[in-house]
Amino acid sequence: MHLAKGFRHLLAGALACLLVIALSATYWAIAGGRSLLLRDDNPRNFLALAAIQRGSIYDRNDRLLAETIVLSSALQRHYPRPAAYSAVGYYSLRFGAGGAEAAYDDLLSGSRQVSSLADYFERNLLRSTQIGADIRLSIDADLQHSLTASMSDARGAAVVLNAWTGEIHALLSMPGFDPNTLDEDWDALVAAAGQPFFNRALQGNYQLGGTMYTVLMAEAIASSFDLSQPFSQADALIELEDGLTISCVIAPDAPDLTLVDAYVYGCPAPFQALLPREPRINLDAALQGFAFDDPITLSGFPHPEPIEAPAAPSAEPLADETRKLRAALGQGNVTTTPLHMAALMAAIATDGSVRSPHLQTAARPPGARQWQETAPNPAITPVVSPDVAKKLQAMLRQSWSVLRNAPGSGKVGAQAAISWSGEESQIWLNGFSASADGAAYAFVLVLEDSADLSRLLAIGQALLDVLDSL
Amino acid sequence: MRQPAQTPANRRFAYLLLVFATISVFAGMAAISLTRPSGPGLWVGLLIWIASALVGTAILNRRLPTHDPLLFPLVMYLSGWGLVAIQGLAPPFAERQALWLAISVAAMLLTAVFPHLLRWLRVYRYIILGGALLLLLATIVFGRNPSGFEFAPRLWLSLGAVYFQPSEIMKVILVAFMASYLGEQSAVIRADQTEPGLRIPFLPRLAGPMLSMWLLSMVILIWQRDLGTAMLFFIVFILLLYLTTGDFRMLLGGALLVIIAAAVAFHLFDVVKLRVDIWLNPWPEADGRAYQIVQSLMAFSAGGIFGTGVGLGAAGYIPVAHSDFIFAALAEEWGLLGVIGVLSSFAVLALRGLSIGLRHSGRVFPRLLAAGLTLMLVVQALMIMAGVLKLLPLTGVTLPFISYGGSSLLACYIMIGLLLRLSAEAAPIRHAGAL
Repeated sequence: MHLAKGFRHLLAGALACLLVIALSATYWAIAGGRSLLLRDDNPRNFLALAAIQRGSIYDRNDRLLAETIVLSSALQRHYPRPAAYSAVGYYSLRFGAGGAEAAYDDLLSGSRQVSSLADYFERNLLRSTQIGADIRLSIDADLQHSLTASMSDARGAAVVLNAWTGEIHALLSMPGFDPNTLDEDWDALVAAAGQPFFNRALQGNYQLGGTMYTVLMAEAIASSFDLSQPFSQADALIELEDGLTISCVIAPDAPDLTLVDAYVYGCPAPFQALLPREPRINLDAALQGFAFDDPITLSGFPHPEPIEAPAAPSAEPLADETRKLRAALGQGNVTTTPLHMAALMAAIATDGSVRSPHLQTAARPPGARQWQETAPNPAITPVVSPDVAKKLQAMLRQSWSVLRNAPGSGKVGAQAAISWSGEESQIWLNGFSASADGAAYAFVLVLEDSADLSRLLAIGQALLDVLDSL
Repeated sequence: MRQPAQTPANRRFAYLLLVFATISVFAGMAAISLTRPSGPGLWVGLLIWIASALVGTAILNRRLPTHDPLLFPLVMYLSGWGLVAIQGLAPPFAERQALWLAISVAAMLLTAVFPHLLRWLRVYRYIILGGALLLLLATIVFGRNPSGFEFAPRLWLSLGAVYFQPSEIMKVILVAFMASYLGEQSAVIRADQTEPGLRIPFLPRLAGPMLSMWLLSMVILIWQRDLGTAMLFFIVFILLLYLTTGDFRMLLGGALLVIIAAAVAFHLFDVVKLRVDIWLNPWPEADGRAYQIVQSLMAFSAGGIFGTGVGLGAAGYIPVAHSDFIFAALAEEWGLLGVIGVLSSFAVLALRGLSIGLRHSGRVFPRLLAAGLTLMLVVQALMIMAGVLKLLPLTGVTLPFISYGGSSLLACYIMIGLLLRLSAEAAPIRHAGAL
């Protein structure tokens, strides 16, 4: 009798143990699994990434910038136009993603939230291959290529914007890298002195130097300063307390200049004298108006890191004359990025308002033929009044004529400026190209460790040649 | 109302199960061939499986018409499942497993149809056990490990290129020995138990074999560091003792001895200490010593409810996934539904095996033998499934019928052969169910 009872007990015990195992498996499969799957040491994450068929990236004219190809029976990213690396970035299974590859990863990789029961079954039951959408960037491959070629071995950055829409047509940081050979070159790139992964166009905190004259000029115009007032000894060298001397970018024909002349020739002395002469000019307000305390950034891309000294003018009271002088000459604690400066140039080239810069203009879901426009209406932030913008445009056109030592067509306006980082000089070319049909492009070039104006102008001219064909 | 073991409904169900298994194995192999580079060995394995299933069914129906109709299709189904999984994880091992399957089914058929085997196991138990122990002891001297690693457990004997693990066959022989011995003692035990106020005297009669068994397990543990087999032997022995005596104290005493043995082993053997440590907290060493168990749990998580699909899992990252951790591999590719399928199969195995025992009313040896064989299979499955789910420390035993391992497969099929023989000799099933 007890034998049968024992059999029943053992069977019940075995079934109970199987039930416990079923419950434990259920826990790991459903409740406890998520944290496990997200662990870095889960090789399935790597396999899942490797199996994703990422979408392609196109430029504004639908020229291919990045695609996924099959190489040795594995999916691999290929960049037919590697010059676009600063905007397109890179994608590597080993080292992750950068640039647009990172910023638009959700779209490119086809990551999506489960929104319906059909989605759930497609993902969990059918395990369909994850295919990403194609995206179109506002980058112009020709412009990008031309800039890369003309800057060749220089260190620096370049940004070209559509002044009316905020679309970025060129985004370049030098030195760069070839995203096709990223895995092989990684260690060398990381160790390289030029820091190729540091996107100078977006992250580079450069001293304003002579670009500060635009800010002061805008403030002078806005405060109705008499621009015909002459400044004597306007071509004088300015020597700062630490021995830094600042001179005109272009030597003027005569020593006495108006503020407009000083702006055109890039002479510092009149701007040094402006603040004591015109007490209505509020430097702090001017800096805040140009939003140097809140840098313009590109969503999803690396942002500039705060510099050691406080960047915001509000934190820099400019109490003493020395500091005020340095700030007026663009050698204070205020810095800016090429992207920010390009956005300001775009504002000046149009109606005085900044259009928020953006890169992605359209997306195309997997299998679809038609592009879906994604570019939002850019946020419009007034920086200067339309009247001030118009007057600055005229000055910039004048400045460009002086820089080229030739009469301008009136289409292009640009200002060259030199700044000192504390270790090396940098030279800027900030300007715009506006055609009669209303199209307007803003551009900024920065060369590091350089004061070579002729080289800067050569690069600028090459850039303008391509802009003419856009 | 009584009915014969092989009712038309049972037989129909058995055929259906076999057809379902064939379709599943074929689909699984086809999926593997589509997802991974596969040679002709894949289809050869499938053909061997189909041939084994057909020949086995035909011979059993002809020679043992009253055998349990579910057992063979059930274990063939599990073996086919295992074959597909091994093909996906380690194709060269799948070819060998298919050959071992053919050998094992042949051994099962011989065991099932040979009329005197049960009597020989009962009558010549000491000779058979002695022979098996000699083989086991031979591994201490001549033991090899197929992996060739210097410090791997040397649990195998080799005959040329063929490796054989005596402890696997020992499982069958030991169960037969225990069933025979306890069956012989059961009358005395029952007499002891019926004496009023005197419940203890039968204990000394059992304490000897119980301690001997414990010592044998410890010897296996100490000499061969085969924690799993030692635990398995001892647990099955304790359960058989409990069945024989009906005394709950047997379970308590056995549990106490297991705890003592575990504590001793924990302090004496690094391998045991390691397994307990990573069982208690594997996470700090997820990339090191606990890599295997952590990857196993990840496989369960990756599988989710529906699994990744056959051939699409990544269980290959689990070291020796085709052997000890095949349950995790199945969980990844088949999901929770597959896990429930495996668990249900072992639940049915437990139910049918114990039912066979109960149908031998009045004959203790076949009762205990059927129960012992069933428990050996089910407890082994529980130990490894609980191990890969971190419910118990890892024991290194295989998942019966599914894991790669020739000796293990052979032993399991011999046990099924004995169960089939016992089912054919048992009384017909009571309609209301024996349990």
